[in-house]
Amino acid sequence: MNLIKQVSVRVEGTSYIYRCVHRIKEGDCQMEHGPVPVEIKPLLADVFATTNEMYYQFLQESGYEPANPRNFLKHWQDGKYVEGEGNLPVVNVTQDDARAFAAHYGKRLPTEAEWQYLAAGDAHFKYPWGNKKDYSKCNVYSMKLCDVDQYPEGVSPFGLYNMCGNVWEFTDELNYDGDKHHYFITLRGGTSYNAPDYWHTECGAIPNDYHLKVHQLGDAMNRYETVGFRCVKEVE
Amino acid sequence: MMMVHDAKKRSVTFENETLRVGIDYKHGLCFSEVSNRFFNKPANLKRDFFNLRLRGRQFKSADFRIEAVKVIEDKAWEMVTFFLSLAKEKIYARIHVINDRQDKITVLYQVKDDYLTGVPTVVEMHIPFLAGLESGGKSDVHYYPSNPVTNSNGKSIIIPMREMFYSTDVLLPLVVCEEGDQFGFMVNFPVPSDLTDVGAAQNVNKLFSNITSEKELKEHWIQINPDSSYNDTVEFGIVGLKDGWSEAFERNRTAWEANYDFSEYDKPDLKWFSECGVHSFLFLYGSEVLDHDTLTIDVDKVVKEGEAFGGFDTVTIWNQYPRLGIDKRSQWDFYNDFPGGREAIRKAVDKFHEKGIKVLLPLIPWDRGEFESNDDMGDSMAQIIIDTDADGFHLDTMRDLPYSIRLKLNKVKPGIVLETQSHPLRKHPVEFITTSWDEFWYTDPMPEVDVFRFMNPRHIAPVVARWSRDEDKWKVLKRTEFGGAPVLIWQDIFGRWMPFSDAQKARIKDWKKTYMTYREVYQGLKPTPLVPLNAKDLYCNRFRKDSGDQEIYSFYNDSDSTKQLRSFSIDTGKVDNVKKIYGSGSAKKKGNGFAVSVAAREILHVLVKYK
Repeated sequence: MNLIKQVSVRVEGTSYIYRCVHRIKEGDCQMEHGPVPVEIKPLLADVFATTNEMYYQFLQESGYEPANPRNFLKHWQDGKYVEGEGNLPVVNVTQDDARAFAAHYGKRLPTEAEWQYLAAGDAHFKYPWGNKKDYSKCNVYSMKLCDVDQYPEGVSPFGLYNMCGNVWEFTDELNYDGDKHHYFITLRGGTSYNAPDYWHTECGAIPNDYHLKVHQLGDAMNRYETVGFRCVKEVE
Repeated sequence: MMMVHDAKKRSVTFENETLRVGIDYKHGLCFSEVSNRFFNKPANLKRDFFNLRLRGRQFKSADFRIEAVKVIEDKAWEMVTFFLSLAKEKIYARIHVINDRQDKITVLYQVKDDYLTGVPTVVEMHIPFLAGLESGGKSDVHYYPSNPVTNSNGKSIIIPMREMFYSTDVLLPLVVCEEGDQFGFMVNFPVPSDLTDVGAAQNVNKLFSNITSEKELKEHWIQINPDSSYNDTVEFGIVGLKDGWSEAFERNRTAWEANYDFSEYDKPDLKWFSECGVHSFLFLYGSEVLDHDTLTIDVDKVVKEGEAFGGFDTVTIWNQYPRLGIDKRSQWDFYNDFPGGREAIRKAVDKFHEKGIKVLLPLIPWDRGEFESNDDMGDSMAQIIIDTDADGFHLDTMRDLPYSIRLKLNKVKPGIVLETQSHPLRKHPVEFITTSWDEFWYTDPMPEVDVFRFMNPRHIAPVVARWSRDEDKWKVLKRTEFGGAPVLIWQDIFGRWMPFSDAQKARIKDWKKTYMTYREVYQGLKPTPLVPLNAKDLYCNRFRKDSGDQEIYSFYNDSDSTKQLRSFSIDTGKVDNVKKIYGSGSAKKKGNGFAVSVAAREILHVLVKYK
């Protein structure tokens, strides 16, 4: 099996009008959604979501161990991913587990504004490939993950794969709303998983400018088998 | 009290304890009289039994041929049946009038359509007798089934059950009384249909129960759905009243209660819920309940927060929606993945119990995996009770629960309370789901009352309005007090902090004290909503202790100035003592009754003790 190597593309610095739409579930979303001008620094952006193999290599190199291991890489067996799943996006990691990976390679998670720009490009595309929903260009409703280099016709304007579907992706922010506070993150891009009920989290091809608010409650709760990540690196 | 059929005069007359009825079938079929025997004034003279409209034509009963009249009696009832035909339209009817020889007559229409065109056609019915129903006295007051009492702006203030396709049998009658609110008639419409989709039901009484106004009553045309058999089409029962609205409400409630076995409510192990005045709903992700540093449930903090409200009697710990669905983990997995797992929740429950607080956990009905059966769900619910020692389930959007689950829960721990978000509408759930939220979603709830609180007063329902802001929270509290109910405090609305003010907390604390002190009066089984006062903008509910020696009258003044009620006389007992027990205003004994003064936009509760 050919294991996918990460590839980065350079994205030049720019500014754009950032506007994000909160997917309405009860509770609302206490953070800036724009429209506001944002500056995007020059970045090297991962073309692929981080894979099981990439995360395995990270563990070998770093010796990283999370403080609370419950549900950490729970889909792996005996300390490694299952044979044949090396190119699937790594899941069952927390935002901190993802940050540790990124930091090891001198990278970080993209901010919300960066992620959206990487997915939508200068034209504010609704989906990575354009403005029309098209299930042939993304892995949604299939109920299973695919290799991170699938759906080449669905890449973003910068050539990034699977920014819609396959796995939700972490962004860098950990939000805190003060007062009787809650910690929450926002997820991007949607997933191949499809929960059965109207009141479950919406799945499918999530538009580039939508995010999903998720309350945080300990590492075991905060690891999901449908959420992965990709990294960026600031460059001159 | 005998029914008399005079075949020559083509008339039938009969009486019972409340009614005197005459029927004339010389020319069509009409009531020659329906009078209240207590009032003894002839009423409802010469009223046609029905009109029909079909295929663009309208027919009176006189357009039908009366084929036969049969008078039958048994040891309890006497009945006259009229057989009618409209042969050219292939429409036939049997109309039965049944006298129970006690207090009620039942009128039952059975219409048959032999399908002139070969297919079912639209047939509509109008009942002139109902449209013109009168007491026989002056200045009649009507109480329409879906809008019996309005405020001075015409807004309906008895809030019906919230139906969506599912039908309820918690319905009110049509009532007409003379100006003194004593003598008149109650007409009830039994609703056997399980659906609000009346087009699918042969008995279309539901449509009469929907009537909200004089115009709707006078101009009604009800679509009936006959087929080629004599099935029940429309049915109503009439009773003569001598104590107006209060009697009608009680009679209606008694008739409704007769169809239920409420023994579940009497179970000693479930009684604890009735002894609660303030409930709390806790969103587990917020610092109201969660210590973010230790990721533990901070019971002490919750208890301290509750003190300002007079103490939380229950807490509902909510840990699932709106987070469920990101991956396939179920609500049961969420308990396992909570920091410290089920053991940590157990520790918190134990500590709540030490503080005298009961704990409810959520059951999310829609979060059922594709392979989760009712049996599995019941097992999971039972297991979480075993693991955490919680005291009940909040059943979220359910209005029902397989009874097998109730039985499973009974086996693991006595006293598990089942609470739904909306009131159970009818059938078995009304009997074994012993509490639900009185939740409403609008912003101007006064001076309204929740019909279920008065129809099924043993079903103690905390009042909650999740999105209310400061001004509306005051109205929620007044609605709670006016309705003599417990309250549910919900401040963290799935991550949005919507606190009560210090002044509101203090008021809830006061209300809890009053509610708990007089709980047996507020929870008595014969309360009356919106007792007629004949005083603009002043409203009153009456709660009666089951022993009959105490009553509380809750007043609300829906105006911007103080309201006086100079005299409210009571004829149900000899008044010994009158005392203000809650709210703003004053009360004093006056004759065999009392006088009150109620501050603007405020509540006043008056305790009356009888000798």
